[in-house]
Amino acid sequence: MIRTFLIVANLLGVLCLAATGYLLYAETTWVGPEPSTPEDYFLHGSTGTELMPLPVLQVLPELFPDHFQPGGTEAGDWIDQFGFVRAESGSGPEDDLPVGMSVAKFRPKSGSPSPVPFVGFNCAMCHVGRLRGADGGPGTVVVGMANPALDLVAFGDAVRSSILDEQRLSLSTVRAANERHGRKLPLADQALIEVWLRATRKALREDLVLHGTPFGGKDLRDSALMPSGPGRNQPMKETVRFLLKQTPEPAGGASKIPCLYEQRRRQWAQFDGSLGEPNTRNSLAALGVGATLENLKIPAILHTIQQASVYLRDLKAPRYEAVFPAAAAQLDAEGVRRGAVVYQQQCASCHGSPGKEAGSWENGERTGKVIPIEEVGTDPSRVRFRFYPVIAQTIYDFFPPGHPLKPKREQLRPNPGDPVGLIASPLEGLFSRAPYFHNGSVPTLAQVIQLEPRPAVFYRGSNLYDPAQAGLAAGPAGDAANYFAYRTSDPGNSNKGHDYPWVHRGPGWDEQALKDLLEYLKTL
Amino acid sequence: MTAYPSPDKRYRITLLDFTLAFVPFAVMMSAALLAAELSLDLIRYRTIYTIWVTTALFTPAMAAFVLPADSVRRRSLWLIFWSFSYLAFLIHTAYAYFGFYGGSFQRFLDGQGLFPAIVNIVFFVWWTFDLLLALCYHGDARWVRRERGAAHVFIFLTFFSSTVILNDGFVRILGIVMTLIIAVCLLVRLDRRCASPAKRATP
Repeated sequence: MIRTFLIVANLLGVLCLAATGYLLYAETTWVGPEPSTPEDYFLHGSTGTELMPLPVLQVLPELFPDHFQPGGTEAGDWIDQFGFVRAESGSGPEDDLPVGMSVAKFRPKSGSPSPVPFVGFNCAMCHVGRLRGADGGPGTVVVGMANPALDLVAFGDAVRSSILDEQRLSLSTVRAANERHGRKLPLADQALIEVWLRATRKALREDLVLHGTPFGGKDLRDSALMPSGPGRNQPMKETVRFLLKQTPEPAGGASKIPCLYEQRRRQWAQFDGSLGEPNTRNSLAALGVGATLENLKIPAILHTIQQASVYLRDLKAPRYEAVFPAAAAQLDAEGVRRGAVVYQQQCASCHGSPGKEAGSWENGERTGKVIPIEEVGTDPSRVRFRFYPVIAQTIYDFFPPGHPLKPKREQLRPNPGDPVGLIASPLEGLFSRAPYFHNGSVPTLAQVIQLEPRPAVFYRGSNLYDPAQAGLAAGPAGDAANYFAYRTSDPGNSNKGHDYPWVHRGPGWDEQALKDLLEYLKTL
Repeated sequence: MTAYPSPDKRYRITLLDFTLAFVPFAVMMSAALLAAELSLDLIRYRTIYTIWVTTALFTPAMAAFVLPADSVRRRSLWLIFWSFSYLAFLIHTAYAYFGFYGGSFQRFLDGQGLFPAIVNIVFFVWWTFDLLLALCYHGDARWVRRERGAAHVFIFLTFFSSTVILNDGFVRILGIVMTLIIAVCLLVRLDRRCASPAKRATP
């Protein structure tokens, strides 16, 4: 009898271990196959920024309409109001989510496999945009283009405010909301949601000292409280925060999201030409949005970082005539020809020009070089933030030896003696790079070249595109779609500088030459 | 002086002895590995929970080692708990070294400091050696007794400092319970020794 009992007890022990062993094996199957092409990695891969379980995001907007529809219900759903690009249906498991929200079975921060899918952000969130003219059509989605409507900082605050709200967000409210949509959450999902909610709330509370209390509701659209606005973020503030766990002051101002076409022509990335390794750029972007050094080593996530660089190396810029055929048909061919001459005289030495072979680019003598900020004359905040002189070494030291994304020291700038300023870049697809200047302070090309005066105040949001002026139709008054008051008098928002070829109606100002130049710039 | 048992009768692990060690090992290890699912970091929490299991199984092994009254039964219990606590420790080491430190010896050194890393290496090597010795050599040479005694002291002190001194929370409670149990066993041994100083009690 006792012997039988002992044998049974041992067998149960073996069963316990076998069941555990099976679970450990099953974990290896949760993550699923990786994307298969560089484009797929860019559009759908995980960058280690897993934010919340999918069942939570699916109901968060309805649990918090004040945060996720801060413009009121008449301004559209949360995808519209935060400027995301809608995914085409049938595009994959992220059908209901906007472009750039990846779904992966990684747990946040650690990257451990999860039975529950988590939503994260990938490169496509910021670097896929939509160009819509005034014709009311759906417009053209352009991969690699900055999304000028994306209000990511405000969205982040909306999410943080929601998570910190213990009354409205709990496992029971998430469960009930999912059930209203016919989704019954399995026990494993519920358990992990509860674990995630507790851990994330605790982390956010501890983080309040560094990031401050998030805004919510209508405050999310107040440019006085949320100075970044659509299409921008505060990259140097966020980078220093995760590198040094402190908020720099001065903070570096807001920079627009950059376009990423033809990266093979750009040895140095970032507006200030500070990163010579594209994988470092990609990983810093991911780290700024929640990835960690640990999860960036997980093969599927590491491959996304690396394959995105491969994809962007040869990604072609859009053509004006492909996106706005009607406007392109009205281009004055003779004006374009004259404009090319003006461009060669006034712009090519810094920005280069199209080469003789179709699709090629010939650098000017200063293309790819950092132009001192005093010479360019644009807003200097970006290169005058606290810790800028030591940022290169700080980034280098941040990655431990042997980390697969650790850059070479010589790929980081500035170093003592290096010019401090902004890099002169090629201008492929220039028409699609609106708004202009690194801080997005000039809505149109016509205003960049000072054919038209640069507005002191204009409103940003989901601006339509003005093909004639080659830029965003950003007027002086706001509405539900364009709510963000961009004041060029605010710190970091100056639209001064880059007075090439001439200051508006200043000495030498040639209106016809500028009209011709504008026509030509549309063809780049 | 009592004649020492012949080597082939040094250990005789019965089904009961095996069960007493294996079933707790199986249940606790399964619980440790599964409980990590209720976290956002499987590697980290499996590393933590498996050292809890190791500590829990080390306690009866150490108690059996310290208690007086040499017998085959006591030696067998010592060996079986010593083996399963080592197995738990091996699993913990695998998660720590290959998971937490990514299989990098440099990270293993940098992540905890040179002195703790050296202590951990000595800990691992010495425990492995002693267990292999126990499994392969059943003699009662003096050097074995001294080596085994020193190993147990070193391993106990390492457990004590890492659970009670350097940590808090549940693992500290575990360490305190371990220490109290072993202290009681030690008192029993000392008391027996005072009553009968001729007896030896080494597995």
